[in-house]
Amino acid sequence: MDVGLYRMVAAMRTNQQRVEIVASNIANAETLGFKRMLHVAHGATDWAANQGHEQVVTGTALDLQQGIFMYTGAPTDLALDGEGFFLLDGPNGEVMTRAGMFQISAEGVLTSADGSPVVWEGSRGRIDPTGGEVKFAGNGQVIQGGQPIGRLKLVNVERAGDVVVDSDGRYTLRSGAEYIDSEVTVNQGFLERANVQTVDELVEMIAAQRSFEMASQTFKLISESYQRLNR
Amino acid sequence: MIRSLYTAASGMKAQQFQVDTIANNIANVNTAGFKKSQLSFRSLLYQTYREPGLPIANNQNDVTGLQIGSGTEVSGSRKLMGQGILEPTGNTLDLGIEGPGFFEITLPSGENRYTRNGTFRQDSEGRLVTAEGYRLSDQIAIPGDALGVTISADGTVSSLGANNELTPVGAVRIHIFANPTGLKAMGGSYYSKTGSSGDPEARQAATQGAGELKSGYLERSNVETVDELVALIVAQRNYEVNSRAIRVSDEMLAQVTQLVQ
Repeated sequence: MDVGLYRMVAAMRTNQQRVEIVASNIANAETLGFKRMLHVAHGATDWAANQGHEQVVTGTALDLQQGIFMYTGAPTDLALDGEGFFLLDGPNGEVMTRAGMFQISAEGVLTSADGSPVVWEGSRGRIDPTGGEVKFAGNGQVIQGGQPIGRLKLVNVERAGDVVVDSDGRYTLRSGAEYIDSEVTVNQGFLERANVQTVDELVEMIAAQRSFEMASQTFKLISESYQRLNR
Repeated sequence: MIRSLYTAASGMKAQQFQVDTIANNIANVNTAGFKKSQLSFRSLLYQTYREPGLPIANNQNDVTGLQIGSGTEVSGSRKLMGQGILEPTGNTLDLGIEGPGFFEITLPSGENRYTRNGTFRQDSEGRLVTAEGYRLSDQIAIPGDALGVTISADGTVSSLGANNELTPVGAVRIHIFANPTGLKAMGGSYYSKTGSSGDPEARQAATQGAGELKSGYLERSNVETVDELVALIVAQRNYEVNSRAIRVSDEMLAQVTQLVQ
């Protein structure tokens, strides 16, 4: 059978996945600290010795670009400017996040919105929940009533490929990769929005749709030429 | 079936919740002591088809991997406890709190509720009650023969006697929570404590981080209509874009069915 048919099926599949990725980005346009997924298609040239089987393979890559800031004025809302992450003590180990919508629990622990404690540099600092005003300095230093009580741990990764999204959409470190020091600045009273630009996503979606259309038209063309041969 | 149909539908649902929240904020723009709500979203289940860094063929490593998310959901809402503007009313029993803290109200059932709506009045026995008739838990009664009432910034309530003398009759205390964002909204701008908010700590007003009392003022809601309208436009556009994703997915499916004749 003509390899062209298989190639077209692969092209249709990759463009369908492209639309799925774009749809997920669009759906998360309002998710704090969300990073969009990029669709990366590449030819699997060494897939088989026969170059005729050259097909397209879909991949995804996280786009770690900065999202825009939204002012809230809440003292425990923190937004990161630059490359880096906060670390959280999640139920299944450490996770990275840029969603800095934190709160102080009744026990004085700084936690994420879903209750996971934020990791500090060294031992975890205790914030007096009914005490004085809490300030977060740019380097992550926490100051309450003029007294420094510790520093939040801020980490970075060497490249975006070191970040794996787990099934709950949290960011974890790829096994084998290591954290590196982060130069990120903490901004108190702000939250980072998703880095999704709906215009870009719409363009990507239309492009995927047209590519899909072309692949399906070509599929039909090849299929019809076989019909004529058989006649 | 193409997954983006469901992904985009989850986005549309999330935007519906967003519009509901914004509509409630706007509707309460004139409710004294109202605090605006804010929704937060989280991304849903990622399906990992291929981990990044896996070998594909001929000792080559796949640098990208393939992970596709399946949309969004509402992860929670919170009350933004920012200060509202204090508006003068000229009525002594209207109390505004400047700074953190809440009034404690006792319901007829004996339960306690917390509010920043300081529209107080007196019942038949002279006690301070809310507009609904619920009593302030500090149990302050102003004698019937009082010529007037003054309430100071630290919460002391004094009645003015016939000989122009001020007699203290009690104090309105401010209740502070470790995590006020964790309070549960009960309607009527009342809140109840939860495990997340912690227990209330009663404090004298204007001390130990508790807010100052302003007699003759009411705290307006902290809703900014302009901010809400902008958020409304954004939500509507996001809704549109999500519905567009559904249409594109549908058209692609239609093309697949045309392949087979």
